[in-house]
Amino acid sequence: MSYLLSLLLVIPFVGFIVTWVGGVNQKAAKWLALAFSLAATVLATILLASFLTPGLDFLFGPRVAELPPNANDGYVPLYFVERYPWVPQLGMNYILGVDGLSVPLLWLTPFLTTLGIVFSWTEERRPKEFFALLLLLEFSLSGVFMALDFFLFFVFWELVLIPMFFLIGIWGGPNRRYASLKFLVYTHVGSVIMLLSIFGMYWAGSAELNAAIYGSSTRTFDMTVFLHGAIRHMGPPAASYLQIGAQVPIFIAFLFGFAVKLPSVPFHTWLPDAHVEAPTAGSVLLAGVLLKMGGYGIFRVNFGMLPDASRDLWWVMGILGIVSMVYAAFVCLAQVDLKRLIAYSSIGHMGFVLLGASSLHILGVEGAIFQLFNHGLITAVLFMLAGSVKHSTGTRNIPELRGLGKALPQFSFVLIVAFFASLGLPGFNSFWSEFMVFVGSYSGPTLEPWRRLVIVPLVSIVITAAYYVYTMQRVLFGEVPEKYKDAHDLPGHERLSYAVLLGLILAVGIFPVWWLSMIDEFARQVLPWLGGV
Amino acid sequence: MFEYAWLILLFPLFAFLIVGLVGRRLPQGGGHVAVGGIAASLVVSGYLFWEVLGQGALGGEVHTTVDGYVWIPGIEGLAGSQAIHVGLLIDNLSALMLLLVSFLCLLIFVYSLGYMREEEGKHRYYAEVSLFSAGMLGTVSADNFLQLMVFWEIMGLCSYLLIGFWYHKPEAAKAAKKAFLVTRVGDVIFLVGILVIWNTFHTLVFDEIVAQMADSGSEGFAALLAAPQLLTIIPLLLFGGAIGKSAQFPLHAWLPDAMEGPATVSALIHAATMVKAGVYLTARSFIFLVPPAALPLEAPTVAILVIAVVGGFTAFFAGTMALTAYDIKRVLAFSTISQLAYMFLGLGAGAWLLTHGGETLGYTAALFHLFNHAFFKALLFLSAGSVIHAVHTNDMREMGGLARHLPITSKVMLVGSLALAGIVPFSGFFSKGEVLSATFEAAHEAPVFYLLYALGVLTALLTAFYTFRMWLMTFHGEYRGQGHPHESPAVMTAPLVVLAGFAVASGLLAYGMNGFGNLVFFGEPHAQMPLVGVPLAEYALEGLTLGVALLGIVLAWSVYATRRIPAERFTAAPSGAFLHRLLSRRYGIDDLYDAIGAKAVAGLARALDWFDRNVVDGVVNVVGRGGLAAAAGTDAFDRRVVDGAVNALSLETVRASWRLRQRQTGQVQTYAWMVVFGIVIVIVLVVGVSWFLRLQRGG
Repeated sequence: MSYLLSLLLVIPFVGFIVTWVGGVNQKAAKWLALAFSLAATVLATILLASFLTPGLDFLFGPRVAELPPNANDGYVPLYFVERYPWVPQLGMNYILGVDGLSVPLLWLTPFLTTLGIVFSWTEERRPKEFFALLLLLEFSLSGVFMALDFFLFFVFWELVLIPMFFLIGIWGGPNRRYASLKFLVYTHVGSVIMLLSIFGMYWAGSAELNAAIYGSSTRTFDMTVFLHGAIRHMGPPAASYLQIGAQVPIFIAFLFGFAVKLPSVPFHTWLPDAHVEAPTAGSVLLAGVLLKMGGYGIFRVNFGMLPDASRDLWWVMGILGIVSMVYAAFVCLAQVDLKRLIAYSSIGHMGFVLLGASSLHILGVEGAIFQLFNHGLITAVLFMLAGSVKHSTGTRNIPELRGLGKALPQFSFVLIVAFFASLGLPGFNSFWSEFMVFVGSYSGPTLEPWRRLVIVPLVSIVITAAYYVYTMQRVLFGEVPEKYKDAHDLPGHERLSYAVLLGLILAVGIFPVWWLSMIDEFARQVLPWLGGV
Repeated sequence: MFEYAWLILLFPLFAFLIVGLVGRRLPQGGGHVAVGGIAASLVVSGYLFWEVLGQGALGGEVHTTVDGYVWIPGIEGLAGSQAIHVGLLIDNLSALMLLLVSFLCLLIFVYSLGYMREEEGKHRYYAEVSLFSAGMLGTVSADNFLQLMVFWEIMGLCSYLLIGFWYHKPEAAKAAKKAFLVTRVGDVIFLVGILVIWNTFHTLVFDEIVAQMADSGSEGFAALLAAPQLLTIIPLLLFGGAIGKSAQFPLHAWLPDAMEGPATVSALIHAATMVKAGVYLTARSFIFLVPPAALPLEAPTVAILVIAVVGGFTAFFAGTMALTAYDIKRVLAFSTISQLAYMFLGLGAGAWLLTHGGETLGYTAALFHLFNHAFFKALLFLSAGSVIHAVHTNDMREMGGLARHLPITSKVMLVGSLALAGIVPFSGFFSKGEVLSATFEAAHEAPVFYLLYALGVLTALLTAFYTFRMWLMTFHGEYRGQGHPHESPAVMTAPLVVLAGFAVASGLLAYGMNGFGNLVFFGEPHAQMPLVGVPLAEYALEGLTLGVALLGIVLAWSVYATRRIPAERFTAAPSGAFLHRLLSRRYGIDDLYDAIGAKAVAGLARALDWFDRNVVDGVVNVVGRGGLAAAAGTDAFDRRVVDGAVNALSLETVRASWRLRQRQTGQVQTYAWMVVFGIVIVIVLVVGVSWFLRLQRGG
């Protein structure tokens, strides 16, 4: 049994404690945090590499899927699985495992944490706690993407809230109390609903399924039971599984929890407030990874375990997605705070995930999963930019900014690249995911009469271009005002973070197939009932 | 066998990387690197063209694809599905376009060495034009629609950045924004076209699509038979993209404003290359407009007519707006729109002829005009740049009499003007004449083409008039500006002279190759030399076009040179003044777009922002406040009743601990209430939707 995944949990957690205890001054705290986070990143990169190429197998052995009994009846391939009983009487286990869905996001977690630490290199306010909490956040986020036991999953899911709550509440802007409380309560409501549906699955069918798959007739929170059960149910011959009558309410409750996290209009209003107040590193992780928990959940739980309901309720996701895309794009156009604008743009871009899911077409679903990763990279740059501009000029207020093209050339360069990447210009990574979502939605099997509705979200493409280009017109162009004549451009540690992220954005944009082959493998093996296959 | 063709794209891409990374530290901002990159491309594309000609010879056709790498993996098990990849299509058309584009880029880059010498931020300029040239070269060599779009958008990005090159100018910022957003509208329509194509054929490769359309057993064939309207819808959607990129009505508004960029940018992007991409795309969409004979479907007549009508109308419409412009580059911009429209008219007429048993004349003529126009319009823009370089203004009212000061520029610009006006034997004469002949021929079956032909002839009159109005206002009479204008340095005039040579010769080249249709054609080659062995009626048509062009020049001469017909007499009359105002305001279309953009869209955005803050978030806050109120109630209950009971027990220790806990848990109770409240709402939702679904299913 591999221990790679556990290491990915242990390292940030030890790092959290060591930084908290050993961070006697700012310098010690940041170097300690960086060391642990970097170690996790290296490990996660090795894991990622094993999904991209077989060349690194010698480190942790070849990537072998865990086979359940009677694997011939169908199974979901999960890799690097670790299983230990936790509370066997209640069917709770410590199970970790990854596949093509979780690996990109799992990799993003330590990667963006590291960059967030580098970007916050000059953080002076309570540095020990700040850097320690970033590692705690990394720990809990990694746990979410690896946990294959519902109870463990829920523990990590809730644990994410705590460091984020403090990051916003202590290091945040003027209105941080309101924002952090709203963030905590709103997403917590989502979590509780989710907990209800976890219990629903636990009571409704886990015992029968456990008997069918593992031959043990106790109730269990083991997610693999449901994953294997669902795929045997979908593939011929259809094995018995949760009744549709049970799937639908569970599906809706899960979707609600994930839609709050994603977030989708109309459950989104916690996000702009949280972002506006959050410190830059917090925003980077919030938008870069935390929102992806919602998208991950939809594909892992709703698609992976409730396929019948997914096929019936595609329209719910479609409506939420389309409304999010168009609504958020228009609202962006009216924003004057750069960070608020970026926050709303995230809502719009997460709409693509729901639209892609609703297509029930392999290209649309792959595009949606790809979009999670792409948006994580791009939005990290965007929130860093909001931090940089505040740092340099003292404001994020778009009408006050002018002539930065001349005053801050390096900042402006990054801003232009990031804005065009975010509006989905070909050559950048998000073009591919958005294109695939549109192809999937247009070609999706369920959408036959609704196909032409794809025109509606396409409007958002033009509006998205409009708000970015309009912002650039106001911020970059024009004469340099006197007060920005001496504004300093990007410091070295910020330049480093940008260079790494932009390089990756372009690399993925030019060679999307590297990442897509991993996602493609997942979608074809785990969701064979999708259209277009 | 043409693998080396990748180099044509890679050289300017490397130049872009080098200039972008270290250009600031190089002499001339890395201009020499950019020139070197494109020169290397020119050498390779020259060799490629020679090989293609050598293999196919004139009148033969080369058609090969060069594999690249995969972008999006194909879907296993889906009929006809292929990976979406990048690859090169090498055929007569793309080989010619590669040669043309790299040649023009080279000349313009060399000219830039002089024109941009004094500018700050030259390295930005050279990096962006190098990336642009890679984009254009990639567009014309793409073997599938998505790759074409990818490079097409890279050009759009560079166009945006270069229009806004002088970013301290507010007009430049506005123009760049407008150019990007207006073309973006076209791009979205193009994207829909790609979606429809993929859904029909499960591939985006030109050759695969043609193969499926001819193969009765294929997926695409069946899909087209099931929905024959697709054959009309697909080319129309692609044409939507072409309209945006090539600035045709109604998406033409961005091009005149794009003149805020440097003159070299206008020459390169907004005259010679990028705006031609729309024409190129429409030429490639002939695979839909002229479906293979094996496909038992009517040709998409409606789509063909739309292309022709948009072309014919825009030619005239843009020509009128050029009449009143005083900005020398705007005159040329309107003229570019008008000339591009001729190409679309030619393509429309050509598709009509091909689908009605005729020959390949119109298709050839349109591409011939594209070829010729690239030279003479680049010449005109660069000459205008040379003039602006000398007098530091774009306004022709502050020019005049410059022929004395700028002897070379004035002469080469005269050559360009004669070519644009369509005077024999300058290049514009041949191709414009062929476009109009094709239109006239198409009219035998569809009388609407008579109208388009008339518009085309009228446009020829307008073209000659505004071209010579421009030339005369600039070079004739007395100098009306300030300072002492000087002729530009040799690094600028040399490319002008080369281009002038092509403006004379590129039309005559058709004789050398026994007719342009022998080189580039759709279907059968069209080995017909201009004006050789054609029926007498053809001479009459060509004579008519030439006659109205000469009439236009004479009119311009008498208004702006001899002043025998004073322009004031026209503008003094109320109707004339109205017309002048209408044309100067560009028919109010720009104002209309501004109103839509600034008022309607921005108003909707503000309204939704208000809605979001007050209604959506308002509900959240009300729920929150409700939770707080409930918590306050519990708290009171806790203090008076629970705590009262404890008090009654008078156990000091218990009491103290309760107090402590109470204070600590005050907020948690708030959360708890909110959570309960939320749960109730969602349970109601879940039960409600499940009930609704059960009803729907009738169970």
